[in-house]
Amino acid sequence: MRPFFSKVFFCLSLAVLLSASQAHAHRYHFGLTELSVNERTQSLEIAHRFFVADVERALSLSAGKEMQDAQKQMELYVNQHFQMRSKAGEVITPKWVGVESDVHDVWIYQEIPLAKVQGESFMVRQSMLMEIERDQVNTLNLTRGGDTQTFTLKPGAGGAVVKF
Amino acid sequence: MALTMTIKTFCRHLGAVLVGFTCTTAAFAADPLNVTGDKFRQLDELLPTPNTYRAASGAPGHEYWQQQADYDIKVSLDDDKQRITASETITYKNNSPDTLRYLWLQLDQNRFKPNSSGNLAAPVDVQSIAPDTIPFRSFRREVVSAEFEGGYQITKVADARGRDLPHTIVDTNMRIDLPQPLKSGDSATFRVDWEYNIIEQKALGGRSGYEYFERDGNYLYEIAQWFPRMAAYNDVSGWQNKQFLGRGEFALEFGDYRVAIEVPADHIVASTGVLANPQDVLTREQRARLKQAETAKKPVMIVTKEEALENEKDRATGRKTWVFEAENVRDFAWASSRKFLWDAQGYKKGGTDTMAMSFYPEEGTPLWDKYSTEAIIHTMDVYNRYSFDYPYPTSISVNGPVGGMEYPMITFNGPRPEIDEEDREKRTYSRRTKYGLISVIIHEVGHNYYPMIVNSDERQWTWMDEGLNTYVQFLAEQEWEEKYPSRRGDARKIVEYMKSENQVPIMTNSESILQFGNNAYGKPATALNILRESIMGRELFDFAFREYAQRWKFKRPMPADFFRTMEDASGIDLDWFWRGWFYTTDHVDISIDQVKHYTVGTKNPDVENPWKRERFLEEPETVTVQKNRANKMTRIVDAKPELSDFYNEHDEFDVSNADRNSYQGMLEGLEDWERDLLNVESNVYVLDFSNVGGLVMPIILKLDYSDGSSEELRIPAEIWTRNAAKTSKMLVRGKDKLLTSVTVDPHWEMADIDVENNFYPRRIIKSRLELFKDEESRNLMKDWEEELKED
Ligand SMILES: [Zn+2]
Repeated sequence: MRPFFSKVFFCLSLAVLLSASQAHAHRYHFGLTELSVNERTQSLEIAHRFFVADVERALSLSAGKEMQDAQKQMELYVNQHFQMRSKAGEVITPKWVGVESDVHDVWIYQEIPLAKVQGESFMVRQSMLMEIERDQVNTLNLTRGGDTQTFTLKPGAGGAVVKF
Repeated sequence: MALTMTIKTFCRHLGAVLVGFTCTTAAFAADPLNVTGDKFRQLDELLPTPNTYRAASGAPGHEYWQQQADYDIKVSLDDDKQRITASETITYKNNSPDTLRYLWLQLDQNRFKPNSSGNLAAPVDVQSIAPDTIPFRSFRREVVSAEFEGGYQITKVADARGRDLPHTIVDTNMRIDLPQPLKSGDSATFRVDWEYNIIEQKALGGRSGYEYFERDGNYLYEIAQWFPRMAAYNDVSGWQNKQFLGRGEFALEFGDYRVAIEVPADHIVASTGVLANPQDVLTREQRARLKQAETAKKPVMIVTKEEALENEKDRATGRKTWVFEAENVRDFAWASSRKFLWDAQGYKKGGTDTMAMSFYPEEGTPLWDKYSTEAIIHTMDVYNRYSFDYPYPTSISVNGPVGGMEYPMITFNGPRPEIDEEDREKRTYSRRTKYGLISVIIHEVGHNYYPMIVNSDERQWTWMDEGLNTYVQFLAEQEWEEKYPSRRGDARKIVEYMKSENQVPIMTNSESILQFGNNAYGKPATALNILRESIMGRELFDFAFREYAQRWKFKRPMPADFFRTMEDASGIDLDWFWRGWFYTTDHVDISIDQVKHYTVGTKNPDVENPWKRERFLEEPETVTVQKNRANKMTRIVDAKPELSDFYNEHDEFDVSNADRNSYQGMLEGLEDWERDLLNVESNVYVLDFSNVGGLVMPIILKLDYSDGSSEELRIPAEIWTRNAAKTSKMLVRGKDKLLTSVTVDPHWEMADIDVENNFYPRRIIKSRLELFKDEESRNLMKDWEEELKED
């Protein structure tokens, strides 16, 4: 156990402080990442949808938090957890588009020019919230034309090989 | 002319319009339960055969039975060690036709033993953030789980005379072997003593536990799954002794309870049941306030904020025992703390005569005093209309560490306002917290109906309580205020889930469900809402749904009882709907592929030939013709006029007398009605649809015409009976009704996952991301925590 300690505290300061915010009222932990090929705009559109309460807990955001900070913090967090690695080992960081939310969900938008990924295979990892919920299930939907391909990611599952 | 319609053909006679449809059987994937084939086939082979316990109508059969388990419990709460010590006498009445040689009890607390199946089977995520690090929270849970001495210590299992009974503990269950077999109609009485350490809810999660308030050193206890209780024994599963792994909840028997709860003298206790000894534990003042609350128009404070703040400062040395009695409940839970404020308001309507009450620490104000009790009453008001009159004497909402959980007459609900630590009087709450609280109270209080009274087996079927309850919750939320932000219920909210491939059917055991919230809460709730609004109509649906609740209150329904009752009471065949929505993972995606425009051929050459010429002239010139003209090509007939004759002056569309004579001859050979039909000046349209998603559903259409008018048409799902993959619909409209566009599902009421193919002609639909980018000067995260409110 001992060797872990310094690193554990590193994580603690980075992200996961249990704030005073309430426990979630649901007994399921679920996130959705939609990867949509948009031929019209020649873009791979990425939309992550998560429960606001879960994201808040993961980022230790609280009601009073300055939103500009929160957005930066979120960008950092998303880039740490959502990763696309090419066969050659190159990690592609999608362009940050923005965030919106209603009282239930938060949507996080990113995009990549289609030319950068078309025809290629990537190892896609989406481990958001898995560090706080051991039953977190993240679903990747790849939508192209009218077809949807789905990948299910759970803690410890590694990533999914997705061909664009 | 309809600009975008294709004129494929026009008909020589009406008969040609009646296109013969060919039937092909489409095989769709997404059918793990193997129910494909005829999407309208009756469910017969999927449902259990009706018997004397469960009738074919979906009602309880004439020999329906269920067991009865009565409890007499004495429990003591140790506030220093956060520990429960208790003893119970269970009287178990065997109403089944069977003889039982042993009894199974549930030991739910054993889930928190370090080596429970639930703990051993849980994976940990070690790959996030950075390599070789363990996330703090996972780490904390593992450490706490490993060190915490959780689970029951069973100290005695004995018969009524105190003689030990042999018993075997199997993880979260315990088998007691009876000295004599328990015959049908007989009762067994036995005693169990036990102790356990209460879990810290925030560290270990779960549906109960304590919360420690560092500032004042007090504890708040929400106590549930706290006593060894009878496993359900029924005509479908026998003993329901599937282990408690954490997700599949509870299967329980009804019974009467008398529970004596001993706590520190300055604690306030909220509990299932009616307080039997108010004179021992309440002040004269508190009893008078309770009396006043019975008829009050708004909540009356039984313990005020000032009194609670005063109370939490001291520590009483004495003990008090609160005695609660509850009749015909399937479970029992309670809460205790010296921090509690307490408000109450009576609610009397129809057969309901109850006291709505809320218990919360001062940290819950100013949200809880404003909304909690009001939300309880509102829930009963709405649920009573759709189900049955709430029959219990109290309905309680407690604020503590549990985010949201239901028990008979008592619910635990989490949301609290934000407190400024510098100035504790400064409190704010966000929109999300406000609606989160109201929604969770409606949801948990609503669980009193499903499954606390309509006692479905939660360990097996999560949708039977969560799905049905989430459906009525949606109705109650929409009656709270206009545009209430409901998470689930509207068809459009389920689209993303329905589109995903990694689904399991709703008819899947609780522990095997993927995407739990969408599968067991969202999809069934949405399906029922669609059934009500778009398929059966409110009147028929509401009658049937209420009939189900009435038939099965205080009984244990199974899925088939619900499916059958909904059909039995409404007179509508819904097997195709249950089949598609509950047994498959098909989704709705109806495409309008083509619109064909026909007009009636009058056969009159003076009408038809000019019309044909017009169509001919509308065709674009060939490139050859264009180039020949550009080259000023000379033709031989121009140079030698003697080569021209009659046919050079009349084109093929000119009408000859021979044509006219043959037309008259034909008319004379027709019956009068046939002649009339030839003069109908209608536009005939044939709309071709394909079922891309697999789910058969009604086709809702909006038809727009060139004169600016539009029309809505609702075609029942039965249009798919002959061919579930492709179908066509013929529409006959007046001569001025030129169709310009067709929209499928214009109100988004069908959860159609692909809107692009809902338009004819096709339209470009912007993606969510594009729309987001479009909205200029968008206030970043505006709804995140806006409208902060101060009191
Ligand atoms: Zn629920």
